[in-house]
Amino acid sequence: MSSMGLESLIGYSVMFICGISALLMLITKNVIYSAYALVVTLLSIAILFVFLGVEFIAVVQTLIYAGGILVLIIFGVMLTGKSKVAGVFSEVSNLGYGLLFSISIFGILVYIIKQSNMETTGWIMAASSKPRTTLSIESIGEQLMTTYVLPFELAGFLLLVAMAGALVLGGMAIKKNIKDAA
Amino acid sequence: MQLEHFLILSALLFAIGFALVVTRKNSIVVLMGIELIFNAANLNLIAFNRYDPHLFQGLAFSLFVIVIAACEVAIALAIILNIYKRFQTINLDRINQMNG
Repeated sequence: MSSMGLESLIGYSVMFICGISALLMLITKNVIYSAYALVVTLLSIAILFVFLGVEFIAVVQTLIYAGGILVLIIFGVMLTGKSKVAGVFSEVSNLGYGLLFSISIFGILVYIIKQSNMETTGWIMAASSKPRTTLSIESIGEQLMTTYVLPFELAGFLLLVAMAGALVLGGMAIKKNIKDAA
Repeated sequence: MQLEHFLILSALLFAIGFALVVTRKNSIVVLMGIELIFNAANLNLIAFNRYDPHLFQGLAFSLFVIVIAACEVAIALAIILNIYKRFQTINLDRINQMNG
């Protein structure tokens, strides 16, 4: 029982860190600070994935989001910043309406979640009464190669097309830069 | 840890991502807001995955969401670089010309 208490204590602390760093993204105007706050948010979401029993997705999240996408975003900040002395700041517009709409969306969502009472829904009760099992890596690979083979192959093709497209678009920008410099 | 708390956290992340998309002028910060929204959706999918009889459908969905997010970021940053070369700014309010 006490180990259960420790687990949920750690889990709720991670949730708290996740929410706070996401709020920090909204509060700060410095683009680099919000990129680092995004790293903290994504890593704490990866920890929450471990708590939810999907270690594979947690690893993928850490590798692709915290490792890949964040590096890309920071490269974007570096390549598009103009000032050489101060940090990169983002201006704010429509602050009143934006906050009003997002707070009301949050309120409506929380109200709906509270109303719907998920824990007492039939299929969730049925699944909760069964003993916990975890999904092995072998069965993930097997399912991806059998049941989900079409989306899997399409995702591979999409990655190829996106890579080629990003190269072409980025190459256009760089080539123009060279021509302007010459 | 109850399912409800994961859903509320995900609603919070979605609201913050939406606020970032609506209120910021820097297009890279807007992109970060979109990433936050993707993650909110992923958290929901994984939170419900526990109750799937095969324990797989939410996982498969979130895997493909992550793949598409990676593609989206790569393309979006290439487009942002092009916009910066053309307009010398990535402030969304200043980009007001087509075929400039």
